[in-house]
Amino acid sequence: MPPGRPLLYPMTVPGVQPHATGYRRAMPRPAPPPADADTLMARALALAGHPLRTVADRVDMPVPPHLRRHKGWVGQLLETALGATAGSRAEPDFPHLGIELKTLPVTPDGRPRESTFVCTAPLDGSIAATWEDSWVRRKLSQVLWVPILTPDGSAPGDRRVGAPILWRPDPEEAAQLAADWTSLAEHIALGHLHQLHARHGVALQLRPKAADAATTTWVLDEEGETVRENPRGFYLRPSFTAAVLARRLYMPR
Amino acid sequence: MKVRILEDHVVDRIAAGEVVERPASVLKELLENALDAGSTRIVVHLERGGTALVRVVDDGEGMSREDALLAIERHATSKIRTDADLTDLVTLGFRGEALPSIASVSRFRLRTRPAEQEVGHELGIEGGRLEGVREVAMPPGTDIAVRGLFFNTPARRRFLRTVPTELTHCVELVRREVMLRPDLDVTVRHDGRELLRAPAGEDGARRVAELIGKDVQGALRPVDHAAGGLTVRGWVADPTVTRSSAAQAVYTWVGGRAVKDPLLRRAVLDAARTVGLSGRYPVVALRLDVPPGDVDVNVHPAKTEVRFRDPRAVTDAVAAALHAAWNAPGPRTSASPVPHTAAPDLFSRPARPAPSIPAMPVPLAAAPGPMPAPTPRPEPVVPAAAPVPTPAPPSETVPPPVPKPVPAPTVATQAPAAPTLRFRVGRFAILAVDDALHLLDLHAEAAADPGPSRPLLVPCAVPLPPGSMTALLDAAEALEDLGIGIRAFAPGQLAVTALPAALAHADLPALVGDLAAAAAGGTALSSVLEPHLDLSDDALNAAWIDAGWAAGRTRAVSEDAVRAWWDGS
Repeated sequence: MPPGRPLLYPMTVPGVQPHATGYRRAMPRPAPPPADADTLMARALALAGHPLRTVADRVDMPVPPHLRRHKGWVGQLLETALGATAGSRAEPDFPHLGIELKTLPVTPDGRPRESTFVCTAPLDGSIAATWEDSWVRRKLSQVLWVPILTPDGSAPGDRRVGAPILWRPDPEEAAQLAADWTSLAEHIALGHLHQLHARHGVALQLRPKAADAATTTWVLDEEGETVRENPRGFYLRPSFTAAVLARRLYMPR
Repeated sequence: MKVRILEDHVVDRIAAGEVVERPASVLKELLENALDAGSTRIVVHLERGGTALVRVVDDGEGMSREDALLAIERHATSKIRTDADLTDLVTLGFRGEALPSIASVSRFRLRTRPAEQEVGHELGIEGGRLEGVREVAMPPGTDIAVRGLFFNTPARRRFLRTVPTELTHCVELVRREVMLRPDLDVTVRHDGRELLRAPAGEDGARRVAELIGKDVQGALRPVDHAAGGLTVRGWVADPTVTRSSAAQAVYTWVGGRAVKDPLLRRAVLDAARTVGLSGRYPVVALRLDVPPGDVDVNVHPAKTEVRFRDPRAVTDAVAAALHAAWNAPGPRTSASPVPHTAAPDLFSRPARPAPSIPAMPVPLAAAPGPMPAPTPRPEPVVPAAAPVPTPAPPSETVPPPVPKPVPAPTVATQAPAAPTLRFRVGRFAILAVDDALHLLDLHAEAAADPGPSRPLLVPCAVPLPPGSMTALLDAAEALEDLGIGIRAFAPGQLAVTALPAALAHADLPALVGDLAAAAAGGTALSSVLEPHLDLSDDALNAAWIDAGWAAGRTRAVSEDAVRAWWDGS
């Protein structure tokens, strides 16, 4: 046998636990894409009430001890369990159904714990001219909300899946989103990025979306010059998502 | 010498502390001046929440050069002349200290032109010092721009809040100033963007609905009441549209002056309590006109509080006016942008087999008359045999009805129109349907049908022995008809996934145990619900308001129930 050499990258083998913490255990087994919205809803309903650990076991996904280094784990787990295919591409998570999946960490009394990322904001002058053509509208045209019950200090595996809601914005919600997007897009298009703060917008807000402040992207300023700025993302405010849940679910008292 | 007379500009800055608190108080003074000048079109420009610019452009009567110069002198006003005039004020402003106070703490520019003159005049003042006067070409009216508020008083500037907060105060102020003036054309622009537009010539109810909120559209009733020289006019929304805070619900004016008077708020809250709104404010926009000598508006420089000579007469008039409006029959607002037929949205209910509903119409005239003062228990409603097609208007002289035996219930021949809540007294609700009143026993309703069903935020797992589990899962369809969703969750565990309104906060293990016993014993599942029903006011109100539980559910109440209620048992 020829002498052994190290591999360029260590490789994980299904079923083996090379990592000291036991975190990198196996390759996930994603569910096949759902054939239709009913199948998707049935899968989501079947998960409701179960702790994330149970869901992770079903799809052979390791459970991290905390989410400090695995921020998107809950979303990835639900995507895997429900058969989402889009990953981080700029299209709905279930492209053939036109449905976006959004997990929403909530307190035990049903209040969203954080704002909900929708999509990144194009700052290079390529933002859509109208709300109808915007990525925000496309992403939010139909959303499967999955609340995740997240008590203070709870370990990721102990958090439980809530009742799914297949949501389309009603006329009032759509009008509010359109008004916010139009106002934010106008500032972006005119290069008034420095005037925009997270305070703008009733339902939708624009916030930095980057690993840290050092991450920058090229942006057109109001003089038409390219300057470096932090990338921004469109987020739904917690007050908006709280209302979406409260109108459709009974909250514990 | 230690004691000195202060110089005028120092006095102005001190006075500014009382009159000018924040951009909204500048806007208030400028708007009131514009209204007093008989303007029909007002445009408000704001920048950075008013901290950078408050500008009010109106088409009012304008001022000559001399008047404009006088206007910026302290205690110069065209509105009063002697102290006797103070008791007979018909204008909004009168102190004559607003403009000089504002000008002393800002970069102030006044442009004005009376219609009869061909050119206008512009006065520039910086920190209270007149910079110059020049002629300008401008349309008739007045255009006052206040830039850099508190630029020369940094200590005061630090007390300003964030831009959104200051902007909210400004917009709220404009709302209050113009809500009952549909003849005015008002625009508010912030940082170049149009924030608020209220065109002239709107219907009064529409103007109110646009400024208060869409949910009051179609629910507004006109208020018009006069008693003892005191008139109450305006709009009130049905008791189904409420707010938790007075600031967002109770809009009041005294003689055209927007006031936030605690006495008036309490009067509205007391009136609301008698129609079953406990701790919640109905949405009202009310203008009180009191003989000038009976009210003192010179209480505070901001003029948001007033003092009445006879507070009791005022509260009684407000209560009577609101009751008269709520009791008035017929459509709410004919010119409402939302047609009356939109009401079923509020009261719509997912299709479920409707039980045969015995209806018990009573004539409107038999309804409790307007209650001049809130009472702990209103007069009982007496059901009569048939509705009266043209109900008599409620009158304070209607004697209290006497309880009578309830007639045999009649069966409704067709689905009734969407009902309107009129009164809520304990377990009973009185609804108006097709010009007749119907009595609804909410407790009986809850027992017969525990309300609209919704999923729980997180399904609740309940442990059960295998036999009970099978019996309940076999009865899943019957449970679904009651609005209770269940499914097998894990070995020996059943998950409750959805519940009807009246069971939303029930003790689930106990409820599931009772249901399992009923299913295993072959008894009706609905028979075990009653001890678990949430019959609190909050739950019953939520069921009406959120889901229109009462739609088409008017039901005769038993004679015994009415007697028991009347006897206080």
